Amino acid sequence: MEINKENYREVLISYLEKELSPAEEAMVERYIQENGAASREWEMLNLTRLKPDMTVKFPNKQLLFRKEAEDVVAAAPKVIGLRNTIYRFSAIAIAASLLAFAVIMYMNRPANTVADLHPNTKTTPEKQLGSNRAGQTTADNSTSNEGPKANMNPGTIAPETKSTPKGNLPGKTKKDNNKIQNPPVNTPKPTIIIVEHPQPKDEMATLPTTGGKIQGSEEGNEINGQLPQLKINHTVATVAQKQKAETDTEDKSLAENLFDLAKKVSLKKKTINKQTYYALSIETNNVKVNKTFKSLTEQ
Amino acid sequence: MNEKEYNILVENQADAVYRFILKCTKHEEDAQDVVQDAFEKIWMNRQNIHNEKAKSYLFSTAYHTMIDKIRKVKRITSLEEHHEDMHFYTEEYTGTGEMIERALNQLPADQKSVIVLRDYEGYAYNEIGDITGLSESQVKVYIHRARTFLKNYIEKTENYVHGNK
Repeated sequence: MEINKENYREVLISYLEKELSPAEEAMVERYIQENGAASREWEMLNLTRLKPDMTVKFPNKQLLFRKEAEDVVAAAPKVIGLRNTIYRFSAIAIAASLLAFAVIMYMNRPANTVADLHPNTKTTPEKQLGSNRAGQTTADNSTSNEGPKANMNPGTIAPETKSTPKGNLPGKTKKDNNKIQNPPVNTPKPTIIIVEHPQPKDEMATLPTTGGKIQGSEEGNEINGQLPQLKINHTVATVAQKQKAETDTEDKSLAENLFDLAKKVSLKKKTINKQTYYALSIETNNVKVNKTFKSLTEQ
Repeated sequence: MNEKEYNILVENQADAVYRFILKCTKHEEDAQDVVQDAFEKIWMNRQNIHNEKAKSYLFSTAYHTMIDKIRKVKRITSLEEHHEDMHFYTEEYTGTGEMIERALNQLPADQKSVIVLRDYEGYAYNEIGDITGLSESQVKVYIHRARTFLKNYIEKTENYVHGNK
């Protein structure tokens, strides 16, 4: 190797990066000693070495530790057919979700059965799944489309949700000569209720709660310029609804409609030092937001 | 990788990977999210990860998560876009540490990442290549470019400061 005025800068970087053989290193060291410009260059290059600030630590490291037992909950969505999204809850959260499913299924089945067996049965708009089923009822035939449990209580539903035409409900049978068209209704649909808070994560214990639900908004950097204000609300129940919706291939649009902002939602419950936290992850087309809450309650 | 090995990885590497990501993003919440996401992915895939590769896998996952995030928010702009601003660099000059920091922040994300991995973690070129998906020769080129840029930045700053005294 030859060192000269044309290549000494590059050679010094190679020397700094320990790319050279011992013989070449000795040659470079000699060149530095004999050449003032090279000596100055070497001094400058040494300043480019980055040194980590070892006082910087990851905050809330406890949130990262995991236990196999937590994965028991992950099996639940697989059992019911979730392929792309895995929800992991604690044992209590699973039990609650399963209970919610059971209630939803229980409330759906009798209504659908009645509607199918008695096509003339009419239902009130309040019992329909929002405006998902917007349409016209034929003179003779109509059917009842009861939504998940949350829909049974219009008071919990956000009125601003837009309506979208929708197909059949899961598990529903449609008779060939029986067009199922529902009248347009103004019943507000269940909405995503994602609760965000402005506090940094290390202050999550001071999360404000209002009126039985956590409230807040955030214009964090993650969503800056993508979504002007991600102010969604969310409950465990609506997560359960999404799970249910996604398990039914006929009801994809229900899931999309319920979560028109959130493409993917996961909720984890963790207990750290006897304090329960909920880690909520919401993924939209543009952003992914992870938030941790101290409590998560239904409206 | 089992539960115990995963938790040891958290204990031993969470701070290091956080320092790496924080250095590159300069944003604490983003860095925390990236690290959490990376560990989440590792936990989900732990059965397919050999423990001896876990650290590399962690840094790789965190790196790619960060790059995705950067591409989305474009918080870090390219070196070329910053060239015109270089004449401002001396105005807030307070010392070598800050000077390096300012210079580093003007590097493109990939160059910045490889030089941080090199200096912070002491990774070899091929290891950095495994983490970033770059070839070994690309890594070498990026590191040489980054060193040259940092050195020139320091040199110009010092010349400017001394020239104004």
